[in-house]
Amino acid sequence: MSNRMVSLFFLFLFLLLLGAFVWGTYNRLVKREEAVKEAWSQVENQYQRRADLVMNLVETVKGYAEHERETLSRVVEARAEATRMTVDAENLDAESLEAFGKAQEELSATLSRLMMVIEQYPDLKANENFIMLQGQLEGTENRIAFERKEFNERVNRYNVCRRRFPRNLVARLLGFKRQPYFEAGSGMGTVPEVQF
Amino acid sequence: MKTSTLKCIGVKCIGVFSLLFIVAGLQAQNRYRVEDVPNVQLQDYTRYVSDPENALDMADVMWLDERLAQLRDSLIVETAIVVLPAIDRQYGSAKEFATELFNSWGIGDRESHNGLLILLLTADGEREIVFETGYGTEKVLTDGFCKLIQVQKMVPFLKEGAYGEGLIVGVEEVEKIFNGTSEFQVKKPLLSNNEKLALIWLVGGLIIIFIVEWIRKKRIAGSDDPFVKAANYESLSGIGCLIATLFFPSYFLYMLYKEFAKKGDMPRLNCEKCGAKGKVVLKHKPQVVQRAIPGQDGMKQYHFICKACNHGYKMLIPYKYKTPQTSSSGGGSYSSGSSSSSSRGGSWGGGRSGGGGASTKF
Repeated sequence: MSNRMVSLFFLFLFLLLLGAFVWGTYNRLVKREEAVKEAWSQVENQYQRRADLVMNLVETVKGYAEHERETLSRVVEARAEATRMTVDAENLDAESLEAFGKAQEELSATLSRLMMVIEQYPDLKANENFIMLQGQLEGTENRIAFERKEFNERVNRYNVCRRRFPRNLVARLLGFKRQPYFEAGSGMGTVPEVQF
Repeated sequence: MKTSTLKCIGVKCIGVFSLLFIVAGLQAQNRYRVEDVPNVQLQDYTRYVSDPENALDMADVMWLDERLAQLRDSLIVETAIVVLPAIDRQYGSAKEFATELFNSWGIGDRESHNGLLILLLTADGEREIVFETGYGTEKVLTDGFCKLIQVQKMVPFLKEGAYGEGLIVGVEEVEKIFNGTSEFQVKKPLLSNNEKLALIWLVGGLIIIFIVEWIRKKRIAGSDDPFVKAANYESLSGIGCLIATLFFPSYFLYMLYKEFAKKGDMPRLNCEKCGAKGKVVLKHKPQVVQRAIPGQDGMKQYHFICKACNHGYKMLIPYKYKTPQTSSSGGGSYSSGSSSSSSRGGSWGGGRSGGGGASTKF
């Protein structure tokens, strides 16, 4: 009798501890997942900001570089494509992240081509408006890099938390999936920096 | 004697060796990591410029320290200046290095994030000037302003190797941005002088045209007879022509407006005979049948014709004598062809007054 009571008591204690562990793990995973989503919205914000700036840049360049219509229209197209692409923060799967990164990279490539072309227009390069825009664009690229790093760090923290034993059992049970990283090319890369 | 020379050589050797060690040390230290940069502010709260390799003149450093202390005391912005030859290759860019350094030092107020880091790299092939702004700072000193200050103010000095001057003008310009007095912030006038003149021309022309139209309307209102109205309206066409030529863009706009508002040019005349509405027009220019002489009005004949049935109307309207402008033309107030090229065809000399008074229908 008492033996049975004791075993029942231990079973109860075990279930209680298990419940607490599952509960704690669930909360921790949710918290980390939220942090990842938040970081992702920051990444998207910065990309959006870049898209806005690109429009201003195109407008400014248009006035100076009449002959570069083709390059300009390519930038506009890539921008349209990149802004069309959005990733739902609730559903950050590898394919949509890759597609998003690809579209943004395409825009980066056309942008760096435009910047290369602009090298031939000293008037434009000396234009205050243009210099400011260029500064803002470069700044946004830096912010994108910064936010992407932050995002990937948070993803890493989430993934590590999810993979460790025995949490991985709970994570699998509750359907917490592995979060893919966002590995896009490094922004505009070849933007000519101001040399002195 | 001998021992002393030996000692001397020994000292020299030690000196050379220690010098070599120092140089080697410098070489090794040439590429900085974030944790290698001496945090001068921690060592001495009056210092804001970290220049481990003494690339700047002492006087410039002192000036900058003083200025940056003032800036910090006025709670505008907390600035650190770091001058290094180069950064370690582990960093993707100088900007990345600056971000890391900024955050590791925690430049700026905890609440307002008003930090600013100015990083200058001086080694050949590494030369770069970087501004890193805190979350609060970036709202005023935007990336665009940073770039402008660098390109237009600092780089001309830095290019010449005048690092101190370059940093000083940079700091001064940053201060101006925060005071709102930078030339970069001053809005350019909306219109250039030429554009202003064009605008005055356009608007002034429109005003004058409307005044003339108003005078015409007033004249028309003086009489009930549509033919007299038409004649009076026509008598101002000379000045209309002149104005139309002088202010042709305004006139064009006015015509567009009239077309749009469906406002009749002349009072619409209906034919008495066939009843066609608005078909009666002036056949040709008014002709003087009796010249005006001083003290007595002259008469002008207006010949209207109906376009529908060719029914003609003739009308005599008196006009006032006008003192001739030039002494040569004796008494004649009728000067022909001054603006005959215009379609409105006024052959009257410009700027005639009168027309009220008596009118006679015939």
